Amino acid sequence: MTTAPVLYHLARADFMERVRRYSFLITLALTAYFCYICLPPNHASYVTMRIADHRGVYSSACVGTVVAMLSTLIFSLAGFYFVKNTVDRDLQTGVGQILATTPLTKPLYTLGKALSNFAVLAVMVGVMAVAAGVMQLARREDTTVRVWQLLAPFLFIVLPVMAAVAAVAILFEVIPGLRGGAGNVVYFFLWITGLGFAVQTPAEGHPWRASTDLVAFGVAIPSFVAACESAFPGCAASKEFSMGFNFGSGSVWNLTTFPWTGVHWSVLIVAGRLVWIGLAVLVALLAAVFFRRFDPARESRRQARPRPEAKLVTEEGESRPSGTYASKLSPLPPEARQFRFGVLVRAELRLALKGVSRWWYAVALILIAGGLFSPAAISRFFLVAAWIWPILIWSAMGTRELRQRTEQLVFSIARPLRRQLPTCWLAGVIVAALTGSGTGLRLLLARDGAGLVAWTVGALFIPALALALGVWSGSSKLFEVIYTLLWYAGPASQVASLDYMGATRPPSTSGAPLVFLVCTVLLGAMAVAGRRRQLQL
Amino acid sequence: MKLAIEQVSKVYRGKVWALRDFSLELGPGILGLIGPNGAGKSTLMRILATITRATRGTVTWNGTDIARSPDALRSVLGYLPQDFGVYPNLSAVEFLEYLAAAKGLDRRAARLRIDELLEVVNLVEVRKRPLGGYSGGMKQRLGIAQALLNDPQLLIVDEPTAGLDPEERVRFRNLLSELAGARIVILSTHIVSDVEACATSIVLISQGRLLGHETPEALLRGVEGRVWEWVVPSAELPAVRRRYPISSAVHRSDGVHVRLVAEASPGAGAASASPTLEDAYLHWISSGRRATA
Repeated sequence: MTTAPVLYHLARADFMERVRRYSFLITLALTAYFCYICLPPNHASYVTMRIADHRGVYSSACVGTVVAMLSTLIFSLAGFYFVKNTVDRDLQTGVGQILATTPLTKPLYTLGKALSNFAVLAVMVGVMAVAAGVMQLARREDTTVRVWQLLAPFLFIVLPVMAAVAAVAILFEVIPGLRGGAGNVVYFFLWITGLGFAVQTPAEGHPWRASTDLVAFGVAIPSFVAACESAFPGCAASKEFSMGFNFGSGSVWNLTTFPWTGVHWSVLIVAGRLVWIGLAVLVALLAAVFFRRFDPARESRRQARPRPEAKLVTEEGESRPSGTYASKLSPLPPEARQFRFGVLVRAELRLALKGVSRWWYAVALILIAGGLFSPAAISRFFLVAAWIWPILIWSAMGTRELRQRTEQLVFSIARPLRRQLPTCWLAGVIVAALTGSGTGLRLLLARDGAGLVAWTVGALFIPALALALGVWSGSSKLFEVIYTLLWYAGPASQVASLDYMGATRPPSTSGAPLVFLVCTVLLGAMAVAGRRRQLQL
Repeated sequence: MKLAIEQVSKVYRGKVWALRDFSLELGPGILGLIGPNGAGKSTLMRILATITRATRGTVTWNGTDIARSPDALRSVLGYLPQDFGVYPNLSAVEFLEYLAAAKGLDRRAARLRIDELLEVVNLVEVRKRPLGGYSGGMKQRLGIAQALLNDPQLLIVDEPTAGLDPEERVRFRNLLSELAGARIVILSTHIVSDVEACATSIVLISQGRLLGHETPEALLRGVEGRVWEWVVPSAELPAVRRRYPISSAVHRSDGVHVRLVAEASPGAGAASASPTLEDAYLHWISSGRRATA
């Protein structure tokens, strides 16, 4: 069979496997809802695109471009996490081992998987485009649907970026260090950096270069600004442009509208956007270099290194002559059945920390020492770092049983809701308390009551969030993404209202500790409800 | 000690019936649950182990409905699922200590019990190795050990000998026989010889329905005079297969030596043979299929 049919069948099978799930339908419904909130009516409490006090009339061109830019913004992040599981699925299901025994080449495999990822994302973009057309009619500012003006932004802005996202997801999946939660966190920071780069890059220079930025700001903004200045001469259009969900300080936004005919998609601009597709192909081919064809011995250097405690033990190596076997079991005395909460907490903690490298502990110690011995103002920054460091330990909470397929063992034990679930959460709290202990002690010594309250709430909140999201999603990914976003938007950016750990000064004035304490309780209830559902109680 | 299954049915998505009106009452002893692949054995095991809820019907443990009060059973339950995982970074001892803590066993007693169990399942020498390096058979033995941790009154083992080498299989059968006494052991398998070796009663299940619940002796009596050994030319074998359930067929120089189950002699030269449990199983399953058809 030649390359194209192989590529087609590989991508098709993987695509079908993913879209024939109820969860995909829910994703499409959420996608359509996202389009709905991207186009708020005038006088709404938020805006998504604003030039000074104005915005474009919701024509096909405006609706298509605004929704396409916002989709690129969101899908370039969420889309990555959504599709980053295709190689893992082959690994988990064992299909990978079958594929590995076929003549399928590594580049063909990674290209096919990237193509499948792209197809999934393209379906979501397609739903977005259709929903944008429907929203244009629903908003009734311009009821003439011009198909090309509506669809061209999706075609040239969103899809090329989605191709790159699809390929990067494959690259992350085949590199052992980036396959798991660490990769999820790394991608988030790559995305933030890329976005910052796109926003700061002036929309100048050669048209094809100006059009290569992530969200196509270089293509659309100059055209929007020119139209605004033409409609409202003297307005601060070139200085005041915002894109994204902006709630402002007042109750509603009162924006006046101006007509906009859309981007003129010249060959040079289209060429600039196609750079993303070229990048996608290169990244997919690069992934082939790292792809190990599901050979467990080559999956990672660490596994391959002969370590006495990790070597595969053979049946022959440990079996003994049958005559020496003990097969009698003593009966368990009734007094042996005494459940102790502390013993299970210890066991959960050991489970959570087992396999963590010495480097991890070394960095954690540095963060604890830094928090303890630095001045109070700087100590809080150590706390911020200390409470992103154990993210992969927390993200395993609530998902470990499904991930390692031990749920039938653990869930068939008595009182899993009253015993295993709270002890698992408590183990997460202990991890938070230990890693943040430097700053915690510093606050205690400084008798900073408000800071201590915020610190305590943070230590309780993080594992509750991890447990709730883990139990409900069955995957560690959701917590890794949401927690990183929250961590970045709150403590790391010093935004008091989202600061769940008290890293901003003063922590008490925002009321955030109380809000996050309530959230902790709600998340705890959510985790219990989710586990009840898993237990079918 | 009584486990009662009353009119239990389980319907999966797409209206797939895994169990239909299944009723059974069990007391101490080893129950062998046998049936072909997809018969509903694992579904029944999961319902009994409180992992899955029945769509209809009730299961009671000493009179308590396990769907309403699952903990009544869970505290005395040992369960070895057909397919289960382990935590790859833990050693066998750590894994068993974790489950012992979750099962509410006293630490000191748990340690003694773990030592004994590791001895019994022959994992003493690899007790401190990470489970990620264990072979399939070793994981299976660890699964057996965890099921016995709390000295269960109800022990449910689903395909327990899968992946075990012949020596370990024999050891496990002996262990089960020793364990049976004042407890209920349910052994689900499609390997008839496992059941033959230790079961005190046998349940036959096919297409989600209970075909029969008998002692091994009664099952054997049921096919007395119906098992035949017959030598047929190899060209006729397909036709014979279509007409009779065949438990074995061996090619020899004089033809194919066939062992089959039939109400009357299948033809000239056929000799009556003494039945085995495999013959009885074949007879029940094939007559069950005919009845369903």
